[in-house]
Amino acid sequence: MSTTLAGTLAVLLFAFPLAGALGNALLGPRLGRRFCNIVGPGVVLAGFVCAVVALVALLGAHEDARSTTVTLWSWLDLGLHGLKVNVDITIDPLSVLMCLVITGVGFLIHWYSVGYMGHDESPWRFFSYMNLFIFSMLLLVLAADLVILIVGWAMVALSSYLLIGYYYDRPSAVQAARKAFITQVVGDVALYLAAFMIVTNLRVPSLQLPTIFAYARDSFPQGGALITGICVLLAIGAFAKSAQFPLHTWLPDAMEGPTPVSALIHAATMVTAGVYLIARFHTLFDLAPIAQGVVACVGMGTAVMAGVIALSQIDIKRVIAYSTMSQIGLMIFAVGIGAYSAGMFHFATHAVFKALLFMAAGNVIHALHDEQDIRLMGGLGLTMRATERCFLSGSLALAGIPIFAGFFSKEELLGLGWLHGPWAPTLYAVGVGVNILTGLYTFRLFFTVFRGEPVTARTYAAHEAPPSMLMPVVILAIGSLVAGIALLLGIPGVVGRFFLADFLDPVFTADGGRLLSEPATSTAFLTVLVGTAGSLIGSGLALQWWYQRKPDAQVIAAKVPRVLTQLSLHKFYFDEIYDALLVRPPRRLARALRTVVEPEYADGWVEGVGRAAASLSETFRMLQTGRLRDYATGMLVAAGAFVVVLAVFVR
Amino acid sequence: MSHNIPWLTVVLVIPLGTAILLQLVPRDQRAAIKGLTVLGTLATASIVAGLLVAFNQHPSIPAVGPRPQDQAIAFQFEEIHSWIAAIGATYHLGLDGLSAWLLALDAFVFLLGAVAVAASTERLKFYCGLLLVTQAATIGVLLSVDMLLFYFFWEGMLVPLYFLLANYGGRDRGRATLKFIGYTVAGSLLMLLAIIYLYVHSQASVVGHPSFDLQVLMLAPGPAQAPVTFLGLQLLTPIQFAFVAFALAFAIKVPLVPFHSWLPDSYANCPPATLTFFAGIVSKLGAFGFIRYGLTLFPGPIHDFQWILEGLAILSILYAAMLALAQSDIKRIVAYSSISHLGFIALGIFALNVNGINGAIIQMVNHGIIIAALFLVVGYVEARVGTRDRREIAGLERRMPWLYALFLVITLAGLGMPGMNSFVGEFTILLGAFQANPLLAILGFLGVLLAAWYMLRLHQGLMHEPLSKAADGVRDIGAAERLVLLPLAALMILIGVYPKPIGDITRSGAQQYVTRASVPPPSLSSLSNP
Amino acid sequence: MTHTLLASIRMPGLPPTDDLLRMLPVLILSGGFVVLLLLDLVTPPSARTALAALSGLFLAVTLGAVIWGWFDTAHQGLAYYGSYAYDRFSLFVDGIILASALVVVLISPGYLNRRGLHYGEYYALILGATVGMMLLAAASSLLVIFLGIELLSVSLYILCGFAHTEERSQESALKYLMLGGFASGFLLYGMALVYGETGHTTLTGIRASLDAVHGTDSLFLIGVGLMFVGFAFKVSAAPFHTWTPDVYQGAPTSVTTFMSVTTKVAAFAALIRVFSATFEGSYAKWNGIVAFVAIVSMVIGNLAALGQTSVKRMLAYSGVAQAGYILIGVAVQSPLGTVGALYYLAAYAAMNIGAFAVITMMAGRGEDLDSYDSIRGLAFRRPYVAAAMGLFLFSLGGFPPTAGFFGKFFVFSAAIQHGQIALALWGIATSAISVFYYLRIGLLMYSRPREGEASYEWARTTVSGAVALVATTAGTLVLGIFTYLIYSAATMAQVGTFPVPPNS
Repeated sequence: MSTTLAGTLAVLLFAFPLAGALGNALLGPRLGRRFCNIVGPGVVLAGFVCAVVALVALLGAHEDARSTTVTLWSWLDLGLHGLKVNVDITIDPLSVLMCLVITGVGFLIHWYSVGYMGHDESPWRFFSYMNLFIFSMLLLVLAADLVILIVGWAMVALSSYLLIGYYYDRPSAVQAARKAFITQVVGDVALYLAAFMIVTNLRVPSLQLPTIFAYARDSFPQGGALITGICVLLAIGAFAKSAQFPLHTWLPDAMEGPTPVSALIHAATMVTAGVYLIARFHTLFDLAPIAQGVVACVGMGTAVMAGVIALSQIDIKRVIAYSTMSQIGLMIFAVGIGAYSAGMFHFATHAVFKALLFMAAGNVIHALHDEQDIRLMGGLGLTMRATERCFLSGSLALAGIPIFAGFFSKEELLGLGWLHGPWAPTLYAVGVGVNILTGLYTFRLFFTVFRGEPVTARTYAAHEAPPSMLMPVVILAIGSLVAGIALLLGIPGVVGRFFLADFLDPVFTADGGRLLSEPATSTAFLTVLVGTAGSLIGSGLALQWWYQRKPDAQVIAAKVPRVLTQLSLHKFYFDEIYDALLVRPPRRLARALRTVVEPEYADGWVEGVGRAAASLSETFRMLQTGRLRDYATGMLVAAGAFVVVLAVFVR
Repeated sequence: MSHNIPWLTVVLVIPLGTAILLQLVPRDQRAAIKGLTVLGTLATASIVAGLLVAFNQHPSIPAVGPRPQDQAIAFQFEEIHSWIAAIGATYHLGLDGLSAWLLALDAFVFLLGAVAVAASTERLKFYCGLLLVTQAATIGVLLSVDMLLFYFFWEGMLVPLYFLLANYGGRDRGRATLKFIGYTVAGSLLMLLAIIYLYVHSQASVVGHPSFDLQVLMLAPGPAQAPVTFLGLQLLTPIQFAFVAFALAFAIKVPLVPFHSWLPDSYANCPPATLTFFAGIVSKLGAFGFIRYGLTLFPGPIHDFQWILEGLAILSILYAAMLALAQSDIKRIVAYSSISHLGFIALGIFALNVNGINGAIIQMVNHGIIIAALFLVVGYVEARVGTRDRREIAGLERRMPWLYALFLVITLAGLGMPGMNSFVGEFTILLGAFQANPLLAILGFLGVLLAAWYMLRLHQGLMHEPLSKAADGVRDIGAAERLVLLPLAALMILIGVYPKPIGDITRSGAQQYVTRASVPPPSLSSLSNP
Repeated sequence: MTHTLLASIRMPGLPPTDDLLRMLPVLILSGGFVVLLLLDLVTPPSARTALAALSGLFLAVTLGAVIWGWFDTAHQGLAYYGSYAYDRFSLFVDGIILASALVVVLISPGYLNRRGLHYGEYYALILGATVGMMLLAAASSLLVIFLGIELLSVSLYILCGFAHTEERSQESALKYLMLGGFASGFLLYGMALVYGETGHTTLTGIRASLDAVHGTDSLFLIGVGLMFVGFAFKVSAAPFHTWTPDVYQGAPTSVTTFMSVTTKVAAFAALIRVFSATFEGSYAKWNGIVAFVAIVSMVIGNLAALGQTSVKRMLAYSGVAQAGYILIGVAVQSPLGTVGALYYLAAYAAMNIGAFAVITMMAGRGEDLDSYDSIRGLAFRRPYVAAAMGLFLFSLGGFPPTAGFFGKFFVFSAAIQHGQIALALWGIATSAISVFYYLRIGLLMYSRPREGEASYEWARTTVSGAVALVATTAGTLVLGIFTYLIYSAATMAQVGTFPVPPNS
């Protein structure tokens, strides 16, 4: 693929959303809602077109010629021993896949927002933030220099911050936004440090990704402490972005933002950036098995934890948020064991059905006038059939019911987990457990919201969402039915098994990377069978407990040890712990510094000098009696002293 | 631009000339007074811009000895005339990679100050005159190569500043002013002794007779190295003492904690227009001094004391950040944030490597822009809401969308948001610090975290949550104020997106000073296989 | 031509005519003194300003003669058998003294009229004192030194008590008289001892006879010490400064202006000539005491000034401190030291007269107003006066670009060059303190009068007063920026500290 084409595409990909962001912000207030409703989604659609063009171009090119890096402009050059950074972008299967999802799903969500934010007072603000997010995300995935990547990385966090705090007169939203941003800064800092360690130790000091990957193997000994450190730092960055333990607490709070935001940022795209990062830096991670192990365990651990918490949440959006956390845990697990393609595969399918679930939930919330408590829902299937259907298809995909999108991706990565990664079979078993949990919470949600008896009168008053909010949902619903197959078997016209894998693998085999050995067909069949069984069991139990209600869920909950239910209910007390350890102590210290150290010491010694001088001055004024004889005596004494000194001591 | 015109003198004289012209304008012609001032600063700015364009980015370094560090500094647009011939003090001006962009910052912030000054200020003429004189003094500090001349401007700067601070500002300004002047003088007088000391011991230098010229002094063998003994116990060597004197003067000016206590009081009592240049350039001169004189005259001592200086830098970053977190007076929040940011600049300098010093210079420029903007915003808010107490202000976004947006950009720049100008500086500084000693970078990052915390706390506190009583019914900033803030915000983004022009010039400077301090290049494997 | 003519008609027994020429400045001024005394008898009170003008004229002419003498190197040398030195050193000092006196005469009429003290003898006495100072500056014999000191003192005693209706003024005159006499006693006794040791009254003779034996004899050293006490009193250096605040505050401000500067300048001239030049040989013996006095003056002067509430008293103590700084130049036995001291004297004259001149303008009907409260808000009624005052204060504090900075700079340089860093350290430590009281006045001038406080009514600045302010301001700035002008002059003067080369 020619550099000019790559450059042009990249510039266009940046230009459209950026123009949208600025246009909405500056012209929006004057030109009004209609303008924003057109420009907002429009620019994203334009971006999608560019991404498609890029895809076509890539498919047209030979497998080994599918990665192009272009320098847009030179950013900084500090000469000998100094930092040197160019604004480089890479177009390769990985980044293009990301672009497709970001712009594609992104467009649908923008479209949906037109309806959802239809009564909002400042759509220009909303759409300019949203477009800014798309821009940042594209910058993040296209960047081919670590510094530029960090810029995108942080700007994503910024737009997420702006959108979480969109309803700025809600204190809870403001809090959530700040929490999210600062957690993200922790991740950024980890990336900075990783960058420093890389540029300081790479044989050819540079932060340009191709250079890093090219020289990684000669610069860092396999499994050395240094490379492990770097990868762990990168992973921490990824965890912050992807809401993995221990940096996950911001995601549920992020649900304070408008629902489309949750769909776009906190389900489909941003939170999966961590997965992308690790996949992108596969060359380094391949060199640091320990770091990989950490990543895999953290991923799986988060998957379980989030699944457990999701079981007991009563806020419709938070349930989905925790399911997101759990699913991303699986992706992280995948890239942790080196199953990069599988991880990206799950990312793609997940983006589709999770966005769907959020938007469907959005319809419900919208219909119930911002009611989010699922205990007050139920029986909505009666009034909102279309939404219900879509939600169902999303749930099936999420739960991993065969032939639905989630099934293929999840089973593939679990299957690889059977053979690879730390404690290979054990983690696989845990993964099956996650499947069960997924089935449980997914259908708990579905049944409690759409089936059973309506709880409040509002349910009857609820009406189906307008087409502008329904169409995108429907499209995604279809998507979540076929996406898996499509990506697996390849879209019509493209021959080849495991289309996505074939498409992506070259990226991961570059720079001497190697693919994981596929399990033998029989084993693969077996693992899939077991995994699917898990999903089915989970879903089945959910059906029994929350739909047929024999035995009722409450009864089951009573049987479970109280500790578990409490932990689940209080999200394992992470917020409380962090507040006690990381928020209060600095606050207290700061207050102490202000009230004691600053006045008493920093300023005190200055004042002290002043006081001392003043008191001395006072004594001298005392000596100035004004009486002649005192003066004379003084002179006499002094003169006498001089005489003695000169006559006796000096000579 | 033509090299037979003494451009630097022109830059130095324009503000003074304008100040004198100002005396001819009748007192009540406020518009004319302000206009003339703006014009004068504008003229300076345009000439400085020309100098930057004409600046040679790859100057030939005059070598004067066998060792690599035996090199004079490649000054451009140099001017030398005799001043006090009898004692070898000269009127020697020069511009180098270190001072070039700082000069630009100087011209910019004073222009900003001239634009930002309220035409309703009482005794406006006096104010404008002082502003211009202060600019001349600061420019003198940046340009002078002769150390007596440098000190002349360095100390002389306090005279106009004294009148500015003593006459315009808050209730407590008198005490604050005395504190500032007294504190600064105490430091500078010690430096004066050190300057004289170096001068006296520069006989055996290349020119033979004692001199105040930096180019000569930095190559002079300097005084004896035997440590001074006092009451039997061995103290520092004379040259180390001299360095300590310099370091104190600069540390107070920067200021580094624990020499900072003058700053919050003076800033809190300053009107925004004054702060644009007081906080914008004056505080940078301390950092400038550390590079210009610390690295050239004391390559040895600065290494002996490196870890202490680095410690102070870290202390400033964290301590001030903590205090910024604890303040409720929004102006003091910004004041402490300034100390914290200057700590970063100091950290970069004391890393004593190319990245650190480049980053420091770049960050000086950035911080000048950011802090000026922050103080302007705080000023606008105070002027409208009538209080500086953070707890009484909330929800301004609803009333002031313009201020909200601009303040957002400024806040992000303030917390080192990647993509904004300060990221360029902080990233480079921290890289330098990391290469000097990884622990420094890690501690520095704590500062980055805290910065995010207190800056957001400030921005959200003012802008978000339900509208507070005090904030109800306020008006958004008008065209005039937008005209001031917009270019600042634009610069923050522009430099963030394309910092190269700054780096291209600072690089030549930093390279020389680092070589002069003969710092070994940051090892490319400082971490691997220890 | 004329001069050879004079030479030809020299009569036996009379001093050589050249000596008359060398005395010319002093003669002119003495003539003025007499003329004014006589004219005063016949001038109506209304025309007393004319006397001021006349005295000014005499001072100007004398100054002209001095300047002419500066360039007329041919006649420079010792006169009257080595008792009177007509050299660039004395001429430099004369210049300072005359210029100061001129400025004082400029500010006097306005002030005296306001105080209702406008009498003719005032100007006569000013000239008389000036003559004494010029003698002191040029004296190169113990007797002439004493003569000069007494002449200037007597005139000043009277001037201090000039406000004869005012108790404070009388008290100050009395104190000055008593203590002055006391100090003269020390001086005279010291001279006696020195004479007894060396057998000479001329400085040249004394210097020549100071060999290893005499130079270290304890009687001689005691003499030196006592003489130093005498001078220290005149320059109001601690611990012999105690009279200063009371006398300065009591005396009419214009007189204080005059004496605070000119006396110090003249006395320092003699001190330098006697110690730095004549007693050079036994420097090692006496420098300790001089350094001690310098340090004590700096410390006491500055610290005591910190607590004052009267501008005049504050300036009195600041004068003590300044004396300490100048003494550094004496305590450091080196050309640079002497040059520094001379430069400092010039600077001190410019800034201190300026500062006092402003206070004379504050004077109200029948009383001196010098309390901190009465200077509050000056800037709002007299912005330019206030600005000038600010400049003088900064100069006294030693800030560039003013005279005071270079004064301090040169003496500190001398100390450091001479290895006496301790002196310099004391110097800067105390200067740092001084900033606070000098700038506090500035704050007062620029702060509005408090609520309810009757804001003080300012008299109009007279033309001559304005001229005086402009002159002092210009002086302060020129000395602070175009340093080389006076500095080169001072170096030339230093060369002439002692007319005849050592060991001849």
